[in-house]
Amino acid sequence: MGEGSSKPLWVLVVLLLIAIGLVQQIADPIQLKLVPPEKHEGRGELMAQLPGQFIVASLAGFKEVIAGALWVRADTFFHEGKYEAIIPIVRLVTWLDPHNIDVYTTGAWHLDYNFVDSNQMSDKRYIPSAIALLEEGIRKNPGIWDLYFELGWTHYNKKVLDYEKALECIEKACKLPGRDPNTGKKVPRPDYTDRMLAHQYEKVGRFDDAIRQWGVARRRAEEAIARERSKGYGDETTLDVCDRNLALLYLRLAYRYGNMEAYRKGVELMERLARRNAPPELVEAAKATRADYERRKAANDPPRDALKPLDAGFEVTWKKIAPKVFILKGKINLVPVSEYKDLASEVLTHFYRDNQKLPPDQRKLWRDGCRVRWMICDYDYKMPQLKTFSYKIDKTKTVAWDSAYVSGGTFSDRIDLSQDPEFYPFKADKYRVVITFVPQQSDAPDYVQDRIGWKGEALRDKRYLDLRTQPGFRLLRKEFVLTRKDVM
Amino acid sequence: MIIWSIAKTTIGDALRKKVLQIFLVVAIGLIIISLSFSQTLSFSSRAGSSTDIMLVKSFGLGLMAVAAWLISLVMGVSLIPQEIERRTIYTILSKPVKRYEFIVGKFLGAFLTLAINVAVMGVVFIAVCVFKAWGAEQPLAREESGIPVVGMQQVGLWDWNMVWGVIMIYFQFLLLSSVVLFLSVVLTPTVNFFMGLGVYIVGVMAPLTETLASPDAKLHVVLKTFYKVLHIIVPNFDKFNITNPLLHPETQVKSIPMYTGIVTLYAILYALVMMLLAVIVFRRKEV
Repeated sequence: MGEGSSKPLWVLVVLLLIAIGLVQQIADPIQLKLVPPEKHEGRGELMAQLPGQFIVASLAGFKEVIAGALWVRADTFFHEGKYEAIIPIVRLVTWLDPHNIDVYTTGAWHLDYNFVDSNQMSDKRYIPSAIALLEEGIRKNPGIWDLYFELGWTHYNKKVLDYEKALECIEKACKLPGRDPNTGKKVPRPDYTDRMLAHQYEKVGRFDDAIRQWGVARRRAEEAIARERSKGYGDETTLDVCDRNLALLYLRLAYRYGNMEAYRKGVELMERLARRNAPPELVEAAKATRADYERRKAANDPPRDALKPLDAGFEVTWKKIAPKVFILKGKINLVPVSEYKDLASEVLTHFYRDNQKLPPDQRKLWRDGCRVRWMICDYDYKMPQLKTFSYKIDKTKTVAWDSAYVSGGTFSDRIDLSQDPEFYPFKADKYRVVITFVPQQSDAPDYVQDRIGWKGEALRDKRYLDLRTQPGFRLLRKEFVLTRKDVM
Repeated sequence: MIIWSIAKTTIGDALRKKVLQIFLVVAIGLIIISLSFSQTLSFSSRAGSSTDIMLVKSFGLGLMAVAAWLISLVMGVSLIPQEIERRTIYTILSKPVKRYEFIVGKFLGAFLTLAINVAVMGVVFIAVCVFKAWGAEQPLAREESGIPVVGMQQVGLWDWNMVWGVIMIYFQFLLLSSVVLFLSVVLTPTVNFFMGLGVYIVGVMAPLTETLASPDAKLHVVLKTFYKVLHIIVPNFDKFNITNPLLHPETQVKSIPMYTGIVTLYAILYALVMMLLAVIVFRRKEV
């Protein structure tokens, strides 16, 4: 290159600029994938509340350090009980570090559980925010199981009690691997995710899927044990957990619905478990179930405990005793001990037999443990579905729910919503009170389901049987409509 | 050979600069100090050593970026003007050295000096990351006999993403050096320093200029065109800012090596343009 004309250099510059444009075109979509943009309302307003040095530091490339410092601050607020101060920090931290999984899970847990009234009942108006936060986390971290599981188990299963939605999320979680947080290499997700999916299938009544999933969970446990053995250790208890749960599922299918093929499989599994370093009571149970199975098979007498009708005799009253203070009272025929007399599951539980051995004054008359749900809300209340996370809730709405324990065939609860006007403003003209009994866990324990079935097949009731709310299930449901006068 | 000789001299001169040595030493010192960083939160079951490592990585990458930014700016504004100020350029150009050879040698020297600085910081940084990960465990929620317990598992030691991170930092500031070196042919060092700073800020805010230039933006067409031109002309430093996905390899980002390759090419092409423009301008410059 001499010191002559500059024209060739200019041509080269133009060619290089064209090349730069082309490279930009290739880089842009990948960059969008790596750092997806997301618009958030109020971002500037919230960021402006940060101390100046935090803003400068985050712009200078220390975003994650600032996020870490803010998260430590959130911990301090947590210990001081200043829960309302934590959520704006959660918002800031997820902006600064959108891949910090812990912030989404902990933030959503705060929203679900920590805004409690004077009776320690959580403010349900924050649940949509918790779900939206987790959904944002999933959008930004779609390749890992954690947040799907969190959304399914902690929020839909435990809090919203929407088991179908919980199943959907846990199914997604079980399609994804775990990741080493330092290297990003695939690692197996925890065993319990697969077992939880099996339980969830059982809960919604998809028994074939539950059986298949117990097989998947067992295979994964076997693989984990093989890996651990290569490192010199190995814990086989997980195999026992899978086998025990699958055996119980088979036996319950037999006891509740008379499925003798399931009974045979359940007995065989029990025997296999008993052969494998099992405690004496399990050996005894395996023998007893085998004997019962052979007897019923010979006599062609399959048990169908959940198909024998049981009148629930559901009664419920809702009474105002003071402004915003109510008494919930009712009766439900779940479950008199006499109902257990000839139940097939007695082979395993011996509940009735043991109860009868007690002196008459110590004998139980009822098998307690069910729960009846209650909900009071504005008449037109529907849980909002937020497209983007916001922790600003509509403070004019009223919604509260909880459950009452059933003991001796009755339930009662004093519901005091008068102490916390911010939680329960009661601004509407009309309200709905819904009292339900759902035959699924955790409202109906296993031993209650042994009599009424997973879907409440045995349940009968003259007035309050509900077959529509949850297709395929038999619920008990009573709805009251209250005016403002009935509440205040 | 002449270009290489100028480059070698440039490297020697730059490495002897006290101010650059201070940036390097302070950065390395702080990276080592970051080993003691810890973020243990009692209300979280997941926070633990892996979170601490993430904090060290984030701090280290940020610190290297700041140091490389200062080094490229301070070095870039002075390399060519100091030759003119000290009149050493007359001695150089009186020898059989062509003007383009001088410019290319200076660019090459600056790029290599930056490479040495970033490499030294990078080696220390990666060593610190490995040391922090050594024996570190992360909480692993699991169940034993149906009872949930929180167990621990050893985290992996070697994280390739940190290597990509160091490479991204180098090429980001190679790009800034080339811009500042080009501007140093036409501007005084002080003006150039602020000009370089401005170019960097606009370049980092590329997503904003892109949004303002987009058809959805409610702006006058003249303003939109202005932002469009700005977006195309100003080097897009934001392209190199992928620290967050780098720090979270568990979020399964697959395209980082390919992306690093593409933006490296972008930086090299842009640096070549700056060098060619510097050559064109310097050929006509009165010195």
